[in-house]
Amino acid sequence: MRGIFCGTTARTNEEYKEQVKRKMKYMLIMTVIGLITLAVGCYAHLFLDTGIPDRMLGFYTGVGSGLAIAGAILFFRLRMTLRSEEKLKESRLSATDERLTAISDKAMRTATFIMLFGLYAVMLIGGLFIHEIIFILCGIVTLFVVSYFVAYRIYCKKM
Amino acid sequence: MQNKIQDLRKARKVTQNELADAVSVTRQTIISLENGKYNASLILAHKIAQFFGVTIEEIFTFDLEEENL
Repeated sequence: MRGIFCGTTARTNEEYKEQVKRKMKYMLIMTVIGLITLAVGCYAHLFLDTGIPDRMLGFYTGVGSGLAIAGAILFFRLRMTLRSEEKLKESRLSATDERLTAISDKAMRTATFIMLFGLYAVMLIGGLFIHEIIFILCGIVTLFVVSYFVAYRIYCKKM
Repeated sequence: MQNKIQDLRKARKVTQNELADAVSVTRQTIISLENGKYNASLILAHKIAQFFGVTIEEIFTFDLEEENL
């Protein structure tokens, strides 16, 4: 998800180092969010009178541990990158390369189209069985469209 | 858009890696440029022209018909 999480305009290793350090902080935050999710799931399972269904417990523990482990692994990978000038340069070139950015933009456009198509299909079929799904998915699509137009307006003024 | 990057690079005995390093892109981008699979941005075109010490027009040939203009 280069376009969303890995965008950078760093021209030198020094500038990129600062961005990698910032990314390391985000990875720590991601790990903490994962641990909190895990803790909430375990707490609800063990201490809430009503408890939570096994499926939801699986969701909380799965997402929580996934986020925590991924965050920790990425944190250590970034730390290794930071310690080696060669790896730092390689990572910077890969993050700023204009061809890779163009590829990412195209992939993002394709993924967005497929996601919207998928959402519509789920809304059409799922709505027959669970009525609330129509409102939830309509809300998500509206949020997407509104944020697109707001971002478009902002970038129109900037460029 | 056609370009003479490969010709210039070979004439000056520069490797793809060296050129990629000099203009701050990956080697794969140089390969794609040479194969004509990717068109360079104005900034990259300028960097490449500067590296070889020539003008942009000497490297890149803009074909109006090919670009449907």
